[in-house]
Amino acid sequence: MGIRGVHDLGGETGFGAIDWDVPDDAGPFKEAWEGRVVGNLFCMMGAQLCMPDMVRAAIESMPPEDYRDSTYYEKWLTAVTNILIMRGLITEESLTARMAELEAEGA
Amino acid sequence: MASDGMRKVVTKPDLRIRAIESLLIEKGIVDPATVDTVVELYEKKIGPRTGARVVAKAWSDPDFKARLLEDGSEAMKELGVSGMQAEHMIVVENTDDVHNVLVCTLCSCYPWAVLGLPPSWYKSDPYRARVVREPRKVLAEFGLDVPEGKEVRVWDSNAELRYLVLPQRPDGTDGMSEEELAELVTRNSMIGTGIAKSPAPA
Repeated sequence: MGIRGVHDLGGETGFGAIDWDVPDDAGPFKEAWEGRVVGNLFCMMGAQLCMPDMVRAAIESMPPEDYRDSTYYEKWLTAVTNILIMRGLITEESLTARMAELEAEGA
Repeated sequence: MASDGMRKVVTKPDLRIRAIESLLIEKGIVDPATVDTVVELYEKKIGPRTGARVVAKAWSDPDFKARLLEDGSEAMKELGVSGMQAEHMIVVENTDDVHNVLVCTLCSCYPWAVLGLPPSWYKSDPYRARVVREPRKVLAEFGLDVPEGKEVRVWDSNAELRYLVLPQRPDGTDGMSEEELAELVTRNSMIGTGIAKSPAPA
């Protein structure tokens, strides 16, 4: 038996109530950016930049405390960021710079 | 969920994905119209109503039901449902003796093609951890008491294999059309954390 990853939750104890009361017609995205993450990821898959396995691997290789500390689509966004950096398509610097530009435009 | 104060993973997710999208547009990898289409698809078009049609058809047509249980992916193609992780679909039938419930303990695998994107609780740590250890207790929290004598089977989905629960047809639905029956099929009844609705009294 190897060491269990942080994502391997089946049967783990210590978890509380399930926040299950979600209507059938509730939209899948709580915030608009979550949908953009999914859409961008689909485009990346369409461009053969990644496969679902890579996304999963990127999520599962997050440091455990970051994994636990992130919402579902924050994990996806982390995976998208890391895959793009790994592919050499963006860098931390180019991303930070573009975020600052967009923030300045919106201000 | 964490508070933002100590966050080092993803800050300003809205700004971050906008920046990523704009960089990828420049590189010709992302077309913003395609992103819009994907978002609209999952917000408006792909959802549990598709699965409800499959279930209603299975309730109405024994031959279709037999084909569906034999090879879910092939049978669903008859209703125009394919792709989107529906390549290997296994349909598990609830009966008087067996109640089935779905989970993805590792993450969020889910039959997208028939149910859309999963609800938040399906992806949550407590559901993934607990439903395999104490399914009856979890189902009770969803308001579903499974009788002692009934077996509960928990199916752990994965990237290659997706499940769909075929709920039991409610009593008092003889003679109802497929469209009427589909109205009784809830998302949770197809995950197994609920059962189909009973028809409104006439």
